[in-house]
Amino acid sequence: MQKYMFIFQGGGDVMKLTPEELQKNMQQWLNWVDQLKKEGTYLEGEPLEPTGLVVKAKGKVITDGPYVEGKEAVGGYFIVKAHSIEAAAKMAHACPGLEFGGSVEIRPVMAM
Amino acid sequence: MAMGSNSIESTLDHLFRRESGKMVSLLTRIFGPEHLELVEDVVQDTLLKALQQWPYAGIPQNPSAWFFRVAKNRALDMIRHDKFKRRLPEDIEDAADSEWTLAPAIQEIFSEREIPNHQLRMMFACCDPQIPVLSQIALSLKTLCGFSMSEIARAFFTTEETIQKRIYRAKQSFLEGKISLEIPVGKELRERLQAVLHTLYLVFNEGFYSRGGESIIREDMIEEALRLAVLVADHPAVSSPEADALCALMALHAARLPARSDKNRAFILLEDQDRSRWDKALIHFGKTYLDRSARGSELSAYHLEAGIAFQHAIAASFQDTDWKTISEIYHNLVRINPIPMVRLNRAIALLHAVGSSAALPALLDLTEDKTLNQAPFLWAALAEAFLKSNQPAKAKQSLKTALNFAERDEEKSILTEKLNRIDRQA
Repeated sequence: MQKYMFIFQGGGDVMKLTPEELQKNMQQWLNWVDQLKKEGTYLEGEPLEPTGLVVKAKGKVITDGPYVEGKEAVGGYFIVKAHSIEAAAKMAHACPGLEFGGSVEIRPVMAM
Repeated sequence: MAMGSNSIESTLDHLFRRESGKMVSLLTRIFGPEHLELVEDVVQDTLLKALQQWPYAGIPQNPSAWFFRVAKNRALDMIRHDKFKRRLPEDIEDAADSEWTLAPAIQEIFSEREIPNHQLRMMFACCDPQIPVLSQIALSLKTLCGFSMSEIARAFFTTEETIQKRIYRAKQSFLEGKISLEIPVGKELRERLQAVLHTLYLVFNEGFYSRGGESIIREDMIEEALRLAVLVADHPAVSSPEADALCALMALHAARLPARSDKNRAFILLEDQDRSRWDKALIHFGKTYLDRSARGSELSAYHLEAGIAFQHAIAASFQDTDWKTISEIYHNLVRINPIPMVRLNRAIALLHAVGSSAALPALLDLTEDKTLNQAPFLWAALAEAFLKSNQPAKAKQSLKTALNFAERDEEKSILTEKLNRIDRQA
């Protein structure tokens, strides 16, 4: 089994959802995490604040990094276990953010 | 996560929608009615935060408290760093002078026991006479109950654009600072209270009687109308026999909902309903409010309608219904509210209480009425009366007229079934 990181990007379409629809989407996320935990494939995960800083050239801080408005804004990450990247991708297809303009970047965690 | 997915679903029934209704009332108290849009943004941000955090952290033990805490902190933040220097309500403005007074003042507004006060204030604000009635209804459903415009449109069987326009009109009054959150006193209180009750009554009726629109949302509307009516009836500042009667009427009608449709959500007529499926707790609840409404000197239309609903609720069967009492109550109701629909219901009650001799003239009279003479249920009632007076041919003719005017399949199949029944008995 290999570790993979799911990086959740975009998905800003949820901002326009109604309370009832937001609750439904939250429920789908919960169910997804629940299911991955039952399968034993979910290891950890955390949401990220929408704001932050970017440090680029030495001594230079860019506030409100360019990612904030963009489609690639990262909302959170999971660490999961899977047999292959294909299997990990299959897992990611169930991500409830996909419906709302979100995407999942899947990166194998380097084995050391 | 402590809870399984199934139990989550039940504990969270409409949680987001309901909590957003509460939060709008609270935050409007803090920011003032003219900042309703800002309030809605804060609520949306709070819901989005839940969407972001809960999948990771699990559902909080007390989700409602979680929402309040997040909304409160956001409100405090905004007041501390208000770039736009908005004018806030006076007491908040004063409290904002010092951190020592601001936090406790906001905390007080967010306290559990204050919530009904905020919701009541918001309800009275939404029913301000400066706002047209249809806009009052749409705004109440949106701000107090958290319904979206598309949900309201679907329930009212109209377009989202129409609802949008209605809400826009209402909101303009808020944003222009014309609406106050003060609950009026004296004569003005009585008038406004009537407007509030009437709006709730219309929301309930829309949910209960209209066959168009989505049934699940309509049932939610019935529940919300009853919840808000109870809030008004139970609030010491505005409680009145009329509000009690309205609660009774809603609960006694809503009690029949479980028996009113079959598995396929097809409509079942009162006479064919399995009465064991009526909600006994709701009937009991309705009876309690009906008893409570019997005070004071005024007998409102709500009292009478609740009395009729009560007679149906306690009848063991359609045949055992006390039609005599019901037709007497309708007689009084016609005096208060002589609209064709009430006259039709009185005629139907008379048909069962006395017989076709009393009902037929009244029903035939109503076929001349422009607002009713294309309604399938009028012709169906007429058919019933013709049948009782042994005139099956005329009954069939009336049913065919009803079929002609019927628009929904559900209605058509009930009418066709009635036609077939006559043929089988012939």
